[in-house]
Amino acid sequence: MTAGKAGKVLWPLAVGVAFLAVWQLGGIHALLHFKPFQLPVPLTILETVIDNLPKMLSDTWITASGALTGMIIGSLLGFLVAVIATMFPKWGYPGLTLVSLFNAIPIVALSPIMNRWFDDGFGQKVGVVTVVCMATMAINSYRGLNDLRPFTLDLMDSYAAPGSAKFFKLRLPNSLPSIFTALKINIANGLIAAMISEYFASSTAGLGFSIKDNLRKAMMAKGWSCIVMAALVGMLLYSVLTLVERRAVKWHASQNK
Amino acid sequence: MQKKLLALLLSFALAATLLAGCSSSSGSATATPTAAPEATPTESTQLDHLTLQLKWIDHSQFMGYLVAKEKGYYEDEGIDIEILAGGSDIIPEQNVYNGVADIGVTWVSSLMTYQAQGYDLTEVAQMFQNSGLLLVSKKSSGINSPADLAGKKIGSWFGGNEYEVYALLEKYGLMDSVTMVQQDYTMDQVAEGSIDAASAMTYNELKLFYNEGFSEDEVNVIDMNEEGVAMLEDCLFCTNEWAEANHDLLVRFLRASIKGWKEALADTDAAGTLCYNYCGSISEAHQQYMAAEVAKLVAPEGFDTNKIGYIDMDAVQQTADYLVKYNKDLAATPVVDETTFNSTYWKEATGN
Amino acid sequence: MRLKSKKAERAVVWAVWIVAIIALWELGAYTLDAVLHDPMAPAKLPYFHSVVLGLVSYAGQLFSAMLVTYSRALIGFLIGTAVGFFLAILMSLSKTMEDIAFPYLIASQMIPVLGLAPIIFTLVRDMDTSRIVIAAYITFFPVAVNTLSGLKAVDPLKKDLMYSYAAGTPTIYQKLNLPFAAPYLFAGLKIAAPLSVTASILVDMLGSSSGIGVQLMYSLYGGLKDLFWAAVVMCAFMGLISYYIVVALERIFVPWARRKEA
Repeated sequence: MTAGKAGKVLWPLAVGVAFLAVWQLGGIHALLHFKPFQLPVPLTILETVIDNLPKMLSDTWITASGALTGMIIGSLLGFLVAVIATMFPKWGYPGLTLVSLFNAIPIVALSPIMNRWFDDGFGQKVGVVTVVCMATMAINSYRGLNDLRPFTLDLMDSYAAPGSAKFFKLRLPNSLPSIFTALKINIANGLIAAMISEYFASSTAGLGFSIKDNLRKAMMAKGWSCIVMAALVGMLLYSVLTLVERRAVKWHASQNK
Repeated sequence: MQKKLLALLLSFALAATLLAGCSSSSGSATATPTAAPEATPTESTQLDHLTLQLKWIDHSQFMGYLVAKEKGYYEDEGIDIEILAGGSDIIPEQNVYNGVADIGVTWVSSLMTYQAQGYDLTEVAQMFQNSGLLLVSKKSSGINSPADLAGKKIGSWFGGNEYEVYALLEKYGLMDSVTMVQQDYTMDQVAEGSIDAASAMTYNELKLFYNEGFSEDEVNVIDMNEEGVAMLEDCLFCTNEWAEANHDLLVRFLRASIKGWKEALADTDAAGTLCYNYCGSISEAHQQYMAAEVAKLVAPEGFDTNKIGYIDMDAVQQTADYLVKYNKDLAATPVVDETTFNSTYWKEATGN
Repeated sequence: MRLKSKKAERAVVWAVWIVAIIALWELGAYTLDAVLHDPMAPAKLPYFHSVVLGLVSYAGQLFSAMLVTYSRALIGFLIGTAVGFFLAILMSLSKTMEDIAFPYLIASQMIPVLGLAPIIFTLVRDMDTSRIVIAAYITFFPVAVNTLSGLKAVDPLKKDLMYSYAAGTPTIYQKLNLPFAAPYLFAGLKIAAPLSVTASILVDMLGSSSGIGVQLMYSLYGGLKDLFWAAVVMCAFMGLISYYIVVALERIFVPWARRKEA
């Protein structure tokens, strides 16, 4: 058990360290025929992060908090759409299709619209991330709420279980793995959406703004430091999510080895 | 059922490879649909392929190159030109250095930041002699002179477009009393009042601001040239290595480009129409307006049109000085000499 | 007979939805414009009818732009799907593999195109291929995650049963895991298909002069609010079509996922 748990951390870590070593020793640069100023090496990035720590942390906080808020609101809305589509299959189902429309509107277009609706960068970011996260949650949780094991619903019916019991005892637990799947996608999509929205936001803070500003000005080390921070946030959120997942859906097949 | 599924997967994979194959073989044709009427059968001479990376979406800002392309001036010089539009995720310096493009258009201050990092890039011609950057505001914001900017919110696109504004603010001692805010691609922020003054190019955003329903006497304008804080903008650059290896091609390119610019300057309405037909951006009237304004930057009043593309080293030096002052992260002091701003090719092309 | 009436019923439901949305949209736009007198109303939410008029007046250029964007989206989608599917199978083969790969897949998604593009350009040195690679890069992730969760959700008892029949891993995948994961895969595709449209719109702006992305840029930049909103609606419409293509494919290839829907 402990060996397995250690492996969960050690393996990814080992691969990460190996990758960083290859990168540091010029493997990637040799492959791409890149000069160090085109793509900084990990130690340079680390140095840059440490040198600019307060700014890095505040940028990270601004982006991550906006992304998280949007992820939560968007995921809740998406889940709500799925629940409505499940409870009222006849009248609710089109909502599921319509919410997926939003997935096709690019952030370049969403950002200026949200800029008009909200006059600060935070509101704009939350608005964009909310829209981006809705469809993923709606589609996945709908599948989870409805893709029940054969005869379970009939069994519930034979006990004359009320609708609320069917929902809370059967559908909701059944949808949990799908909800986690959606959350994993939303972590990645929400964070990157928050960053891209900052390209166009009425503010001068956040990882996205710094990435754009620095990469455009050839400050590769600073730009990539921000990318690394975003990647760390993504991995951290993912780790937290998998921990929660393991507790919440212990019973599910996906948690078996 | 399983067989069906397998069939689906197989067909997906097959389609993917097929389509990928098609797309790479038909590569250049899809990139520039307008580039069709080349390769006349009578002329079997080999044209030299050359790729030009623009700084921004193709419109009249780049009319000289578009005129030269559409009128066949590049072909006359034995060049098969491919013009790549810019965009928010495109960095011309990167694309030229990586070899995606041979020659690029960028702002001088931006080029200098790349040169300072060690990118072996050199400017070969200076297309805009003046700065086109303005700060515009609604009259109601009360910004009648730069000193009135105190305590205001000022917009900039950042990413290297903010230095002139900083120089202006420093000149009036306002560095600490204003708030700098990022602008999106629209002029809505200043129109709705969420910022007080916005960056705008003479040839584009100023007109778009008027289009939002403001008349000329409702708008205040601060001109960077008049304030003496101008920095150089659109220039042509390439890597030193490429320039040396393709000396003759580069001279021919400059000759054709300058011919295009000259013709565009002589009749800006025609150039605007040509650009509108080429790109379809916004409207013909807007492209004509842009052409007329761009002409004033390429050849300001009293400028000898035989000198289009001339690199004014004093102006380059001023650009470098402001850059050093306002980009605290600059890797090294910009080198301003013939290794980084090389007039040789331009002189050869124009006979100056 | 029964099927037909069901279809008619569905049509009524859809009609009600569409009418309701248009009514709400118009009401919202009216509130902004005529009640709140918001000067930015055309940018925040223009009238639905003016968006339709915009769509009609720009129909020609939007339609040809749509075709360009679609062709890129399709290629990006196919490659992205193939990559995502392949990664999912790899990760499902061993838990260690998943532990290793998953966090880095998330990390990889954090590289914005602005940082990624120079690397891709250097690798492939061709703008068109670069655009496709980038579109696939944006698309593969949801497919991988969803397919993986499907492959992992297979009942272990069934797996054990297969093992007891001495079935090899390839057989188990073919007979059990893949069919079982198919609905999950399609859930992923339903997310990925509109996303591939977004990705394609994004790469329209990578030095190309055609496509919906370019129309969006021009209209944003030019303050052409009606063209901008027409293009936004067009994006949503393209997402809807691609969503339906996936739904149709699902009906054909995974009929067993349909039982509760009908």
